[in-house]
Amino acid sequence: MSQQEPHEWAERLLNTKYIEKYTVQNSNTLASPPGFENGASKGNISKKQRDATSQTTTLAQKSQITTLQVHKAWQIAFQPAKSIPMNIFMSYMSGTSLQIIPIMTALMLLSGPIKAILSTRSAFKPVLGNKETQSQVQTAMLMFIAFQGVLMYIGYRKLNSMGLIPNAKSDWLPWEEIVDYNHGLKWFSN
Amino acid sequence: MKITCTALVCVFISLFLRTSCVQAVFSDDAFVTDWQLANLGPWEKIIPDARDRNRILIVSNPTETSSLLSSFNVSSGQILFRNVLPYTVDEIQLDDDNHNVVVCVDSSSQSWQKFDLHDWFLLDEGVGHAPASTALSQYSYPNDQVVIKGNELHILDNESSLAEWKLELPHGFNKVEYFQREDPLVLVLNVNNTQYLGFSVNGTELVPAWQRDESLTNVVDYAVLDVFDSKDLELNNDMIAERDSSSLWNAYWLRVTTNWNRFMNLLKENHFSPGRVFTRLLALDTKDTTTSDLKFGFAKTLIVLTRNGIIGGLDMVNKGQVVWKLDLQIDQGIKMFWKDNNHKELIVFSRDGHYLTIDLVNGLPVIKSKASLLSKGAVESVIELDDNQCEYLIKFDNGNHQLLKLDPLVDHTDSSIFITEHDSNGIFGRMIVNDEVQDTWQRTVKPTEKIVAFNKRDETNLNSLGLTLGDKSVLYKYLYPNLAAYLVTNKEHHTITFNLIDTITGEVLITQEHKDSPDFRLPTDIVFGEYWVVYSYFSLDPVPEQKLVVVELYESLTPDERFSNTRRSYDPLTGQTNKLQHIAKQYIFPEIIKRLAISKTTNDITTKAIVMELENGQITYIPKLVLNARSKPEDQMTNEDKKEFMAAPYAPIVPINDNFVITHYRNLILGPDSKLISIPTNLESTSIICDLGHDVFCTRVTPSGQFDLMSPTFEKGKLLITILILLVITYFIRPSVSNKKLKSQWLVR
Repeated sequence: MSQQEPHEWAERLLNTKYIEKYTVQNSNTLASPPGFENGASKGNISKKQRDATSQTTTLAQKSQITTLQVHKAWQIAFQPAKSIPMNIFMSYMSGTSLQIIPIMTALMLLSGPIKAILSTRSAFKPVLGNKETQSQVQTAMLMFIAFQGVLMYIGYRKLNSMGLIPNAKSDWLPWEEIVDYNHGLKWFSN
Repeated sequence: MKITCTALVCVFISLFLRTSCVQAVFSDDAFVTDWQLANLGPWEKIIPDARDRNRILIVSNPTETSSLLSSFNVSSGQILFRNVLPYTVDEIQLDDDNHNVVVCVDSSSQSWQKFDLHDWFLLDEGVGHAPASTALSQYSYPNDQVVIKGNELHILDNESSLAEWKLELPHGFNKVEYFQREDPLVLVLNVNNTQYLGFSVNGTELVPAWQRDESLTNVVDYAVLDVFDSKDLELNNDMIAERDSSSLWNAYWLRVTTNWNRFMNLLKENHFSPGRVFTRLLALDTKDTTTSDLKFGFAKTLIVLTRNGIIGGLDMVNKGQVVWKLDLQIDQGIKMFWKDNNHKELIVFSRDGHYLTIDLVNGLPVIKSKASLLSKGAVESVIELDDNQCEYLIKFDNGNHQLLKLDPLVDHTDSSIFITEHDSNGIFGRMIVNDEVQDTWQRTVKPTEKIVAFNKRDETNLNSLGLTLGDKSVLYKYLYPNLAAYLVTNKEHHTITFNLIDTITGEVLITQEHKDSPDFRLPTDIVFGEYWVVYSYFSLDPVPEQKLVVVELYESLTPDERFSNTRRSYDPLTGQTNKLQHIAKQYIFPEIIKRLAISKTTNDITTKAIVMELENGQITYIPKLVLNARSKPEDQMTNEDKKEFMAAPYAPIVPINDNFVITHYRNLILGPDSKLISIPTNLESTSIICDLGHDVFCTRVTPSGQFDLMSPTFEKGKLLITILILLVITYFIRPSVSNKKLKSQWLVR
């Protein structure tokens, strides 16, 4: 096999110094698009004024964000509650007969909330990390868990009404032992 | 209003039975799986029917209290009608005015009854001389026309006295039973005392026209011999190996490997040709009833012992054909048992104190030994101690007992044996100590009282300790095994009493009295299932009705309450066992019940049925669930009560559903001591019901429907073809799918 000369581009790719030869134009030096002029650059507002307005805007923004975050947190918390009436209605309407669809929906009602509870933090991720809203977000999280619990309870009631939850004595009857009254005693009759 | 309600309830129950509860015998099974041996018994008197030369009247099977009068077609060998008369017929007369009317006379009581010859309806009866009738002479064959010369029978010509027809006498020839020269010529020969051969003329020859075997009349006991198929044994061995394997996983692995090997063998046998395998699988569908009968355990030989000491083997799938029979030459047979678990030897006890061992060599019986018992009295009863252990307790008429031990190796030092005997005067508890019979307790009844029915608790496979109620709570069954139930009639107070006793201590656990004027002339019977007792009696108050009473025994009537404790050790001898609680309910049945039996299946999973022989000769059955002691009137039933399995409101009248009359329109004559039995088959759903007595009748019932049998409409062929088509489609589609996958990987459209 004959030794071939490497391609030029490959040599440049490996050569670290090659890139330094190029002058890179910084995007910061580019002018802003029209209408994006910074107030300061116009020079018609004093520095003090500028500072005061920026402070008030950040404060107002912050309080707005806090309320928004709290609002958002409660929205997330109430999300499962919205489906409660529908689930109650659905499980009531589908009856107690043993069919695969109602069983599956009831099982989903049980497993869904568990998954949701386990991933509470990820559900509240957009509103976490703010110390000011922490306590309120935590209450919302508790409410979220409580609503998921209600959903689970609907699923449990549904499965129980179908007789699929082994919580009665008859469910464990096959495992109960029989009493041997006749130890070696035999009885016959004509 | 009340009547309409009852009628509505009746309609509801009959609809309920018809639709949901159980599957009855339907027309495609009727007269196919069921059979009957309609017996006449040895012919005592033959009276030619003056109206029709093909017909004769036969008086047979006389006892002290009854006799059987039958109308018989002598040329075809068919029974036209059978009529049991409650007296001994001494003479039959023909009414002078109407030749379709016969008069049967009992000379001892001077009473007579007039019957229509067509339908045997009773027209008139009286005491003294029967009005205007001529006595019909009993048949005797003309000696001058039929002569026996050596080994031949000659029918002589009237004028020339030369032999017109000749017949070689059959083996065991006894006598000429009936001969009729003209219109048509009929000859009936008696062979071996109990067989009847009918001959007719075909050209110049006498040819056999029919034959009847009357030997297996009046059955007193039975035994069942299973007929096995080699394949079944193989499967059985597999099952045993699975059961004996150490763990569940091993059992599963064993099943998988054996079935895989079986499948590979099937492929090998067919030279790995899918076409052959396919055709073979289709061929399995053919209606080869012999193999299925073997597989399902329907193929059995019913061995019957008759009062006259004859044993016979009846092929149960072949319409009860007599496979073999053997005259044991004993006075009167009473009991028969298998001696071993493999069902190779039988032991038969006779009333005069003999016992015979019968070996079944290649399915045919041979008398192996005959011996006599110690005591000289007549044997009253025989109780087998333990199954097939060759140990029997024999009770004689004089009250003596003998313990017959045929196998000296059987030892009972580690167990104590208790026995309960009963007769109409009392119940007696006994115990066997050092091979001696000792009395333990007895319950005798007053002179005005009589024990009319007795039954011990059925030995069943226990599948569940309790009943699950609608709210998922449990009512625990009372499962103490040493129990017996009996009925006592009291003529003085005109009552019938039900008693339940502990057979070890003799303690009466339940007693309930019925004061609704029971009729003692009509039959009563009792059956004892797993945790329930059903008994029947006829009462006259307030209106004459057949009553069916069900008593259910529970540990406690409060749900979820269990008194028996597995950690406690119980001793039945001290009587310190947990006591029962019971609940009872009464039902009304529209027909007089003569005998009761419980259907038996292999694992006792199928719901139990109460099989009833009725006084009118029919046999019917009702599911035990219909007779529910806990049922309530509908308005008292809560929603939870309605949720219980097969819950139905209490309807006091249990109707007879025509689909459940398993005898159809047969005319059965079973006699007063018939045995109604149930034999399990290999199919859990199916039980064979037989009634043995004067006649023998057998059929199959499926109290919970045929749930373990593929319906005949199941389209195996279509299923196999669909699978095959799918396989073919997959075969062709596979390359195109992989092609598509590759293309999608390369983003090529």
